[in-house]
Amino acid sequence: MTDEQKLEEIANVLEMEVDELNQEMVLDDTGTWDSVAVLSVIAIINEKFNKFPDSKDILECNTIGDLMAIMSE
Amino acid sequence: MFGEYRNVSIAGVAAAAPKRTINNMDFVNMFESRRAKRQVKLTGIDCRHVCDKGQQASVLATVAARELLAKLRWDKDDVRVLVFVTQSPEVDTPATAMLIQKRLGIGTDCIAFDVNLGCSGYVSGLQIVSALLQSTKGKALLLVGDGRYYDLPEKPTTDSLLFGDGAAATALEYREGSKGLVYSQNTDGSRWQLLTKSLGGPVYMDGNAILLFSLEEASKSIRETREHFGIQEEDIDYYVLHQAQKIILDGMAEECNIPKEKILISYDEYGNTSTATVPITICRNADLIKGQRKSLMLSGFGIGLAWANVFITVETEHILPVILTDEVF
Repeated sequence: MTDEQKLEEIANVLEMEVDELNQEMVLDDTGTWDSVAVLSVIAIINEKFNKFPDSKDILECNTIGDLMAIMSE
Repeated sequence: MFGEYRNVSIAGVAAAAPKRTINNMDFVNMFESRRAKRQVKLTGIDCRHVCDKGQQASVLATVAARELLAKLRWDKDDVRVLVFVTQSPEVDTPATAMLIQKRLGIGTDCIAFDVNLGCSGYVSGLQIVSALLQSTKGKALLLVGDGRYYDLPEKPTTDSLLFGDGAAATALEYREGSKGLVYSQNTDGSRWQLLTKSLGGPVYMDGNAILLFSLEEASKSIRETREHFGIQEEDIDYYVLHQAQKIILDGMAEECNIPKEKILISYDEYGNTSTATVPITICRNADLIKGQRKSLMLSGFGIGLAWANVFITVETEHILPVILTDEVF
């Protein structure tokens, strides 16, 4: 999954446009980083990488860059 | 803590839900957001049964108990214990269990009371009733149910699409020599504020904290229960987990290495019915599990926070399919 693809998925989850996002952006500042968004990220990782991520790792993410780092094999 | 109760068995289970349904895809059109539609997909909850005006949990529980008593041909005067686990009582006092006792025509030689527990309530209720039966002997009814559709805010939130209404009745009896049940039970009142409803106020839920709790601690407790009692995977026919939502059940299956086909579900049609999800799921799958005795791992987790597991073998002859009703009293 390329960084562009990850950003597209994250933008969709946060209901924002890709060009509004950057890797330093703090998730809590987006206003849409809630349990639905967390569940959505779990579902994306499950679908794309066929694994169930540790939810604690996702909840510990602070920035969009942190989230992108978790979205991998 | 872990424990066991011998000499008790489940004689039958019945569940009742309102006839009225809400289709969640229709419901989310009210929000005009991609998020709500995605949430429906993630939750796996297509539809919910919700109370119509005048219906409430006590009505549904009474209907389930009435049908179960008729099926079992129990003499109502033999019921020594009647426990109603609910967070939506019909009146503040007395206990709604007493109103249900009257409606069912159960005699006075019994104890009846309510228990204020939520999603762990059915599994904890099995422990409570089993404990009482050690002393009273005889027969008991464990009723569970919630019906809060009319309590939801006028302007619904996306959390609203999780919750359905429903109730169930489980008949238990003291039977010398019966294997009984083993259980684990945990409670952590220090986290009560994560999921709460103040008197007359709205429900508050810290979704992320509850999500983490479900996937981590509830899953861990299932693994520990299996390990503590030496229960092998082949000893368990089915898992009946609290029907929080699809992705939580999928995650717990993964965390506990449970084959998907061993997990019974009902969330797709009934949503999260709080105290009633476990027995509604048993009854929803009545056709699938009927035949021989089945060993079930039951797991409830949620508000409190509280989490509990029970492993029990049940006779499936008197597990009734979910009753849909529009009765009001």
